[in-house]
Amino acid sequence: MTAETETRTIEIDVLRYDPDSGAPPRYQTYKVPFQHDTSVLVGLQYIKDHLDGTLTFRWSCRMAICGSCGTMINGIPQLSCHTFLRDYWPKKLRIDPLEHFPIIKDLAIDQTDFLNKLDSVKPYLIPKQDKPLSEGAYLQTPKQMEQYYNYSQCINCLLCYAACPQYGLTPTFTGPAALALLHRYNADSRDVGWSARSDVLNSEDGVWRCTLVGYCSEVCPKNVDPAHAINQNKVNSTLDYFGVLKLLSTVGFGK
Amino acid sequence: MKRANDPIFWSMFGAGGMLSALLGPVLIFITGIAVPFGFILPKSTLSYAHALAFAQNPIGKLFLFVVILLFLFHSMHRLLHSLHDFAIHSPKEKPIFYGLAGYGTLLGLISLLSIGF
Amino acid sequence: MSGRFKPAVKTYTRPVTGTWWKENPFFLVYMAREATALFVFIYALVLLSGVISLALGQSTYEAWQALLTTKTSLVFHLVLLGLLAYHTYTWFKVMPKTTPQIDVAPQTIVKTGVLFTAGLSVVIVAVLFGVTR
Ligand code: SF4
Ligand code: FES
Repeated sequence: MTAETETRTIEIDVLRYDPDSGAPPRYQTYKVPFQHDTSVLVGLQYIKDHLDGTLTFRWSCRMAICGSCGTMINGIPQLSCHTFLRDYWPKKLRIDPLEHFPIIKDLAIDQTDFLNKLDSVKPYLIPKQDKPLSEGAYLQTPKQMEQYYNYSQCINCLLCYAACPQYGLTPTFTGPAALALLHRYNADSRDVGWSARSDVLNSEDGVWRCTLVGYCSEVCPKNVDPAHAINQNKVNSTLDYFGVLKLLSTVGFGK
Repeated sequence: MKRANDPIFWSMFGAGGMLSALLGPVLIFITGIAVPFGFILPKSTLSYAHALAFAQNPIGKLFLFVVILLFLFHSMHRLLHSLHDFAIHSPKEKPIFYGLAGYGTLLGLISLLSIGF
Repeated sequence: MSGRFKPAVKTYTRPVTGTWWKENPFFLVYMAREATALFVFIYALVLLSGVISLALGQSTYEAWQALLTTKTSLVFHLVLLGLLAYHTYTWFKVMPKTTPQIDVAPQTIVKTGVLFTAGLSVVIVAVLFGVTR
């Protein structure tokens, strides 16, 4: 038997919450056999298939792109399909639902708050004028694309919200991913939506709730760097506040 | 959505953070270590006559004022946010923290003006 | 936030307390960075007290000066110097997050900032050294 195919057993504590009983959440321990290539997600699936069919959690793609399997693994927000049991053995493993979100059942959290925030930042291109399809595509240079490319990689996994203490302390904060996506469109050369989005950006619950903890950028599985998106917009919001942005655009800088 | 007045305080926080990052260590070295103990710099560097001349010089006066203003507003802004980090929120927090910074600045301004030109 | 999506009817919300930063080293480093403000504040008070005593006249100013020559003051300022140097480092450390999208590596910004501060400090002391000779 090589190390790759050897089967070992790890103990996993999972936070359980049953909305029907309404009793406060508690941990339940499962013994899970695993091999070198067993992800935490597959471990959870083993529990559901073989040990306890009542365990609830979300997943879909199993390959770090759908963004549905985020959980707290030993207190750190991670994609469970992108994390491996071998890295925790022989110690125990603790799995909690994503921090700061209301729990619906077990590891499934309610993302409604984020969906409404995402909605509020108008996450779509607002062009200067609508071009009929016959006039062809909006052209963009690679340099212009660089300005927003990494912010467009977000998969809405919400790890950054679970990582953000300011979101936990003040849930009205628009938060990392939504603000990063707000900036993703503002930074796009084809977009002129700054003023349509500035209400959200300039408000107390916009960029100004951020204290640059920076953990959002640390945990993001797609290198979106929400902390960078938010903090460069503190500068923009300040320039806007003092009327400098307007001045710059009248003399032809910016878009 | 209510527009935040944070740009005013954040600008001062940023300017003060930059100024204290660039000059904080060397100022502390000069006023607290080198001069009082005659280490590298002579003790007379900050004698009454020298200090007075510096504070009477318009540039020296402006420098002292700006350092006090920005160091105070930088630190009060950050400490205010630390309060939130400890999960303490109060409607009076802004008047208290920025008020304190403003009061210190005012004391400095009055002193500097009374020193004359 | 209200909006067109309605929250689940029955959920459990975990409480957030003021001790969230204790469990993660990343947060401890953040809290240490924020705590530097306390020492910037303290030094502002040292300077302010000097300016006030200067305005009050020679005897008050010299009493203030005498305080600075105590051993306690030396230790206090040495500690303060270390903490402000840490502030300098952390300040440049987070600076790359505030700049626009540019082609400079974050470490370059940190290094340049810290080295520039060190150079500037040496120049200032050297100039003072020159004019007080
Ligand atoms: S910014 Fe990163 S961590 Fe946050 S939701 Fe998007 S992909 Fe996930
Ligand atoms: S299952 Fe899709 S990201 Fe993990």
